[in-house]
Amino acid sequence: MTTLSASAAPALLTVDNLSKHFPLGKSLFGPERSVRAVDGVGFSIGRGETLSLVGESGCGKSTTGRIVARLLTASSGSIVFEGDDITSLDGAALRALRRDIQMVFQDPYSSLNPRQTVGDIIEAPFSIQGIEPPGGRRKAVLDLMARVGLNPEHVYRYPREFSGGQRQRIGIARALALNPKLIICDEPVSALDVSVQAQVINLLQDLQRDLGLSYLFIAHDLSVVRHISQRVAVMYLGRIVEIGDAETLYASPSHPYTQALMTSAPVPDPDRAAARQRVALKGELPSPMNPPSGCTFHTRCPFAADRCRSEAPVLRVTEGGTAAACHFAEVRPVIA
Amino acid sequence: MFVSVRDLKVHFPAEEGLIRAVDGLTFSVESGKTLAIVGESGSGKTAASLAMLGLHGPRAQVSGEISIGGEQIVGASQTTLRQLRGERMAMIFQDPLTAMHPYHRIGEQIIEAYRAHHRVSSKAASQRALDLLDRVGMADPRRTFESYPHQLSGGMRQRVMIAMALSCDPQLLIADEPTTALDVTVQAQILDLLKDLQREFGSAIILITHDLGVVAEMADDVAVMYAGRAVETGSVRDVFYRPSHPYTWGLLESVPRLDLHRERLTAIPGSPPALAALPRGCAFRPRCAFAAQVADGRCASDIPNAHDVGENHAIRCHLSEAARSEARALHAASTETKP
Repeated sequence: MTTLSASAAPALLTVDNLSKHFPLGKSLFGPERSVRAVDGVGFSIGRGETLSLVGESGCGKSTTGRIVARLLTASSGSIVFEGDDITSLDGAALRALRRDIQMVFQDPYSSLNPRQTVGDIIEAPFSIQGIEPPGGRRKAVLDLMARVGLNPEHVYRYPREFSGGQRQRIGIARALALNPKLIICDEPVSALDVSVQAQVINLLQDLQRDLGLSYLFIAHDLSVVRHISQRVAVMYLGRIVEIGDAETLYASPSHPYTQALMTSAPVPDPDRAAARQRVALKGELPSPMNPPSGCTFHTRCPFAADRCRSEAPVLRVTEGGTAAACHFAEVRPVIA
Repeated sequence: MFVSVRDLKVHFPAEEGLIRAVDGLTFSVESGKTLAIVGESGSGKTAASLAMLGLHGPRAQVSGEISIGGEQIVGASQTTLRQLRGERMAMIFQDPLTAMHPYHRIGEQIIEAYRAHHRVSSKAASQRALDLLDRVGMADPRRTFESYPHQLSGGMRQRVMIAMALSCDPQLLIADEPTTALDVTVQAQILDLLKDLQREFGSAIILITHDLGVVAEMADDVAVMYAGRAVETGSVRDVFYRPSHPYTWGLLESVPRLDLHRERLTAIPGSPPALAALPRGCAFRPRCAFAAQVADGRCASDIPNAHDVGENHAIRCHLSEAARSEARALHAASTETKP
């Protein structure tokens, strides 16, 4: 792990060489095949810090989040949280860990039980953990609702009676119930309308400031990621291809894939959009069942050379100040 | 004007009251130009685009005037509409998987669309399909021709949709969130393709989207919709550099920017209203920070009429000229941040 993968703040979470392989079953005569959804990922998150995992569909960002939340178990590698190895905790120890690590999901429609009232949904963490907060559970629920900007009078309503943005607030209140230290946010605003998205982003930032939360923020939207993160890791086919301080990464990205993402993302400014030089990618995402040799990005990279087809690059510090896994890492302008 | 829409209304009677999905929409598009209709969910942008194609069912009450290349769409017979769809206008949907037949090969589906309008041999139609697949950038047109929709990636399916839409050389392309389901690098490819095709064929494009970045990238003109009405219309430069409606200000200020550092987003409070229970007067009033500056509570009583604030630049807002320039200066200050 390079020094840039590590947070400057004292680490709350350290992930090292994490991999997740999903078996596809045996073919009749051949060996057992598998998809390497996550392949040797490492990073750390400091207290009160936000690290974002950004990349396109199938890059392994959500799987990484689910492994850290311990909804999935890693195939190899380690996850250290507050000094304890939590990679393969189970039973009571895993349940205790859930107080510290919580998750907010993308879809506020399918992640809330439609037959429970909002009060029951937000109270569930207390009953599961057998916790009696001071002042009682109902008071804690009402406080949480007020904390995330919901009207506590609506405690007996059902999820369907709320808008998308309000439902996402319910999901956030549930995640906050047990005073977690780390919240994994998996695309928490991508299903919301633009005007509502800003409300939820502001709420997440306020909660972080007031409660000292750390976020592992998973998103495909580079603009949202720039806004909310202190540090950013760009993933491609299960690996981190570039990682660094958010301001540095956005000002001087060195990996061609990061550059392609940044020059492809639409900018709401007609003159800038017209002036921008795009780093165009060839073709489509290769199948993760059969990833390309060497650097897995070489099939789409505009700068690929012979070396890229045979030798897989490792993360190394670049002149731009990030760490990039590329033989030809070089700062190239991305914003006109 | 190739496309001209005047006072379009699309209403649906429902138990909870009349749903005014589109309520007095007026715009026009020239050949070779792109109009972006931008709005959030429930703003009526999709209902408007379906009306342009005459695709609403008998329950919908569609009124007003839609003229596409001189043909009237509202009130036209099914036979006429069927002929116009494809030849005069075609649609690209957000989700190509649900817009295609899962059991038929790609080639057959393009051929079917083409032969519905042209009396040609199946050999000629196959050739046409292969040419189209090549034109939209499929690496191996013959293989795609033989594929089923589920065998293609999202980006490839969207290219096939575009090929189908182009099969009868329509002069108007309506694209409803064509890249929303795609990854950014693929989105960029599809937007480039649409621009190239427009240059080549000179067609008019109506682009329906919620993404202000896509608007800035693609549009010549913009209509910002809120609760069934266009609250601001103008050139793309007017709307982005001289926005004049409080809702447009709110949208532009609430998006995080890839190219700018913003300390805190200025969110619009509340959420878009339910169409069956629109507030009286201006539908944006409950979320508007400037309603208090308008005399006599007019925002709560009168629906603002569209009025010009510049050449081909109109808004629906009661705010006085003076109050608006003051507020706009404030808006400019809040969006002007270092890259």
